[in-house]
Amino acid sequence: MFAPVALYFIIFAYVPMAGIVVAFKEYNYRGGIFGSPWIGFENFKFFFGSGKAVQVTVNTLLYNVVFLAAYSFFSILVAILISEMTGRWFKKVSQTILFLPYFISWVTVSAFVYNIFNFEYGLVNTFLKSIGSEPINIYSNPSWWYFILPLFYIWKWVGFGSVLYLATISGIDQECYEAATIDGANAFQKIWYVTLPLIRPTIVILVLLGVGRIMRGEFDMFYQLIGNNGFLMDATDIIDTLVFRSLVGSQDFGMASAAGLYQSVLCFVILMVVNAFVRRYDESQALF
Amino acid sequence: MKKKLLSTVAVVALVCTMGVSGLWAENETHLTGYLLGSAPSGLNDVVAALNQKLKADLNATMDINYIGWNELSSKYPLVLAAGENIDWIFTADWCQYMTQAARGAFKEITVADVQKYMPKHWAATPKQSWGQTKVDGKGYMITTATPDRKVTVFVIRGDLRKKYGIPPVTKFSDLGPYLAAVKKNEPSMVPMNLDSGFDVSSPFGYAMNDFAPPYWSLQISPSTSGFLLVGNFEDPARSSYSILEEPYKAAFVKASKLMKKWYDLGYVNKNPFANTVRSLDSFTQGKSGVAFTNSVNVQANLKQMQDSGFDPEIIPAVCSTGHYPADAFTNNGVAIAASSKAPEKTMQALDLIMEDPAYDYLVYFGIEGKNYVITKDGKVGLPEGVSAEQNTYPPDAAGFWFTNKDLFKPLASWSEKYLALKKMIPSYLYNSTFTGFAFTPDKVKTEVANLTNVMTQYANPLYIGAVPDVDKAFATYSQKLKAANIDKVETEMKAQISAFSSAQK
Repeated sequence: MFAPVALYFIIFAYVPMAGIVVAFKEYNYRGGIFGSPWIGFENFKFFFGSGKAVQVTVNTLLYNVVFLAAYSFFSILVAILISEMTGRWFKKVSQTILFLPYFISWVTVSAFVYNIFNFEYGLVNTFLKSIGSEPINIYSNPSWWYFILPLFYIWKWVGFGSVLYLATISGIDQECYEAATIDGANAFQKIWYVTLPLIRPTIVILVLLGVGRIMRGEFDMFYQLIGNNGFLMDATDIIDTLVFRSLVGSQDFGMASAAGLYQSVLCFVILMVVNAFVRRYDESQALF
Repeated sequence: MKKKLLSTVAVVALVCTMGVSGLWAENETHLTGYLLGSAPSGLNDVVAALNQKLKADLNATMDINYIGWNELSSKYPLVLAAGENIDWIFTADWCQYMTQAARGAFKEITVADVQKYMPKHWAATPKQSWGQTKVDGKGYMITTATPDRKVTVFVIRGDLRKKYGIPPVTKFSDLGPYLAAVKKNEPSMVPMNLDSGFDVSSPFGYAMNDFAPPYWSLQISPSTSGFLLVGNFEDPARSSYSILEEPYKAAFVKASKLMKKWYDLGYVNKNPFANTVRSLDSFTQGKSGVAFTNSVNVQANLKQMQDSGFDPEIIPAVCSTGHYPADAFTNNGVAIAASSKAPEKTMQALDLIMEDPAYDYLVYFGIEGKNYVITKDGKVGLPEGVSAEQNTYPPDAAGFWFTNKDLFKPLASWSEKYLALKKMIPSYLYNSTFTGFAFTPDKVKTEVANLTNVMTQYANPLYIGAVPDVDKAFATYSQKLKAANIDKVETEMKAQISAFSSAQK
């Protein structure tokens, strides 16, 4: 049973890992990944010399912490609410509506966002003008985006996340709930004392997996919603967008890989630390 | 038993047809090309007609793919790096030619090859063009035989200008009263509706033209717009500067202040960075008061503007001396991908497309009788009952910009005004002293990457004037440029320019 999984990871994860060397090479088409000349840490100079390394690293980390926390919280909330619904038809409809954004690409979402928030004829400003208020310039004001970005992130991913938790909840033995009912527990007590403790292992695993990607920014979202908007950049620049913007023209695979390697190393360190904490607290729930 | 027999027969039949079609395909060469922009809706019919001709002449067929403007800087190198299924691709000095050639993405084009496989093109092209394509001593581009005689222009609505009593406009920086009239009287229009790709730096650049000495601008990377390291293109000594130095610094600040004034008065849309519709298209649809384009590019939309009852006034935006650097041959060209399996056949096909009138008309204007007709007075016009908007293959729009344009008859849509402009253009053109200079960024890659990033973040708001205080924002910008080591890139540019100068002597 393990063989296909092992094969998959060897082919798609371990073999390509050899390509890491490109971060230390002066890449050219003729030599390819392995034939290009070595240049040591030259490729890392761009990222750490940009003067933005700290800022984008902090941005990436903070956005992802907020995303992960909000995503986990709302996914669990939605999963519990759906599992408590009794009307079959209503349950299916609400689940479908929540899941739908998962299939919409960020390119399309960026068109929605532009039509909602743009200054001249956006939905928000048209409404504000109709009630006699001053229009607001959302695309030049970073503080709005601290709310808009997590909002759209949750809107897009919560349907998917809630399915994962819902699967765990529906796997809980009904006898637990029956016993709780006999003991006189109300609906909220059942959620607090039965459902949540029983899905805790799933929560821990999913959060740990999320932590493993914590330095990988949601590039599509930032690139499509913010793009090259200089006004918002200090507040919304993440590692991925900085690297893309600086190198998209020069197509320097070496420098881009160097930044990618930096992200991977940070992810690795953070994951090891968090996992060590989990193991100390409850060994059976740690990833390894 | 019967069933088994039947399926065996089916399999045998299948294998036979596959074998036959395989053999058939072996004789015929299939070529794949890449152009910029987006495919016109009538492309399939044109390609079908093209393939009929190519099949008869060369036993080849061709399909054509497009790289969209908004993904140009990222997709162009990827198409070449992937190295699959690509024979030829549009290229130009403004479209990554130097970078990709230096990286080995193109096949070398030797004069002997051209004489052998492209005899018509060899005959049509002035010999000096082959000298302009050299990168490290080798040529990789087949340039157009007819570089565009064009200048950058802006287009305004003459009908509105007259309606609101504004005197004729000759300079971009004098546009204020017209913009004010549009803002005041036409609530459905944005006076300057800019997009995130083409237009963000255009009005700023036009203002620079009015305020600065003539300038040539070094494009350090394909995703930036210039105005960083500049040179005087009329100076035989090729003097060069950064925009942190006079006289260009003062012009930069002045241009930005003009843009800020207009931005604050609401003449410019607030969020150009999120808008993807070019001003030329908004203008044609009656949603923008000004269009930013060049005198060749505007042709495709001219007829539609006239059909909508607009009176397009096309005003050249030339340098303060009244000059405009003439296009080099390398401004439009085509290259053969290093991975092409049939470079000779590709060259033969391109020879026909670029220089054979029947092919040239087909790829540039579409199918005769359907997309264009030759009118009685010998002009290229639209067939009866087809409006410019309905035409599925508008002239120039398909992206075959490297073909021989001297083979064409004049267009029926050229108004008196356009013809007058066309006549004037040669008097603006100036042979830039920087023609043929190619900057190789290899030694300053790290600095170029960081400068690219600083420009996107700090220069774009200055270009559209969306900053609270221009002087302060410029101070921040120059400080960030210095931190990204602009001095090192400037020194490198000066060294390369002086090497270029000594090679020219």
